[in-house]
Amino acid sequence: MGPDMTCFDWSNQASSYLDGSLNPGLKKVAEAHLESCKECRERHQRYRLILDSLGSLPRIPAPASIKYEREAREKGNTTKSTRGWTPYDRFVRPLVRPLRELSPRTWSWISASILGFIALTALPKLQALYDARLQKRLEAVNFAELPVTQAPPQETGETEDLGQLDDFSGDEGEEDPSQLANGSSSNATEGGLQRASWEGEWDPSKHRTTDQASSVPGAQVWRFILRTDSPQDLRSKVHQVLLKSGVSPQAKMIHGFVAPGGIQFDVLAPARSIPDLRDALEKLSEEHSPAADSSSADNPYPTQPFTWYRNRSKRPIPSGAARVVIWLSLT
Amino acid sequence: MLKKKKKKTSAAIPLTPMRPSRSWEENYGDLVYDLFYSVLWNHKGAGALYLSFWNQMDKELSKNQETYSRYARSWVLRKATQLLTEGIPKHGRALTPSEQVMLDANLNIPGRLKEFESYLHKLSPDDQLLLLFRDKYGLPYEEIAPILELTEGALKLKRQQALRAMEEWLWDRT
Repeated sequence: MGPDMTCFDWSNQASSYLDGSLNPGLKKVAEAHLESCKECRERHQRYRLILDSLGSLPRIPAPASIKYEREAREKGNTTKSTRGWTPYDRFVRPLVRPLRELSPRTWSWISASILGFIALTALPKLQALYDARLQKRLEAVNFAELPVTQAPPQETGETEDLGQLDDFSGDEGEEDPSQLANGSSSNATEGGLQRASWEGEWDPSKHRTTDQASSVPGAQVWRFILRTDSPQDLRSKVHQVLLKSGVSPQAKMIHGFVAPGGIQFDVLAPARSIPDLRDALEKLSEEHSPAADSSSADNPYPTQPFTWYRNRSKRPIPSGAARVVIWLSLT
Repeated sequence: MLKKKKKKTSAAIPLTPMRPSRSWEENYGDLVYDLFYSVLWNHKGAGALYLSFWNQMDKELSKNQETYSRYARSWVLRKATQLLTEGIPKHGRALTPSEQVMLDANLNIPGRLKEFESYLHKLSPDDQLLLLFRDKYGLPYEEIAPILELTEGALKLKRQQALRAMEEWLWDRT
């Protein structure tokens, strides 16, 4: 190349000139050409600007989320690979990452805490809901209209000597008042009647009852039988006794209903008031006991003016309450 | 004819020996990702291709550990460039016609310089790679030549042509 460089020559050497890799002689010639040629000088400046812009382009490092994606692939989780790499992986997954690094022990503590919190907050509400539902069902039940239910006979029932209770069905279901009035004893032993003892606590394991499959363990049905010549006279007094015992005045059967052979009451009473109720009824019974029958002297099983027994209830009864059935039997 | 010449040159150009001290990813992972992103021009495609490259490198390193330990960056970049060239049709983002019109309609030179990356992507992938290797990453021609499978003279000529094209687009000298 001669001492004078043309624009074409310079354009061929421009790349090397920009890199500074031209030999010193050629470099001098190129510089001389740039001083004399305005167009090539401007082009050189533009090239320099382009190269500066290229050099200042930002360098983007590999996102950390790609590393997590690879780890997932290594573990055989190919579900993510099918949907490809998304901005979610880039921005959201790094935030979730610390949670994934927690140890199983920490997770178990967190889970236990959450479950405990749920139990503390939800259980009282569940209990309240259950009680409300139970109360609603009880209010809907009309005990007088329920059918008589008989439990299967107990072959090895540990029933005590029923004696004076022979007249009554052992089933906790609704008795037929007429049957009670007739003093039928056909179901007495079959039903597995239990005589309760006031002195001792009720122990279900010692007293087998007809409703072994009771869905409400501990719920009790108390039955009191008062024999009298004038059930109608006793009716209002029993009503008063029931009210004093804490039975709700709104209870459906608190006034009793007349049935062939007597009058029956069927209410829910506070369980703690049952002993007082029993005493009061016994007192009433003594006051209104029937006249002595001359034929009873020959009867080896004379009927008693006041008897009672209890057994379990198959139907749900709110805790703290007991079902009380009082039968004013016309002798 | 040109393809045949390329094959001959690639076989003749040796890689530049290096001695890597760490794994390829620790040394060149960011470089490879940036290369992918710069050419493909979208994170999704770059991420997908990077994962493919990662899988490929696992297989390649199990066979060619010695090659990697000798040539290191040149070898990694050559593999990355080969994968990138294949992946451009699938993962690359090209200028849309509307973007093309917007670029052509912009008569303001500083405004055009702000859209420098868009003009860069008007270049062919080979020219983009050459400018990136040489002027963004500062690789020497001896190292770029085997990566792009071109001679140093051809690289200089291509670079000159790429600069000329960029200048014409940016300064509207067409």
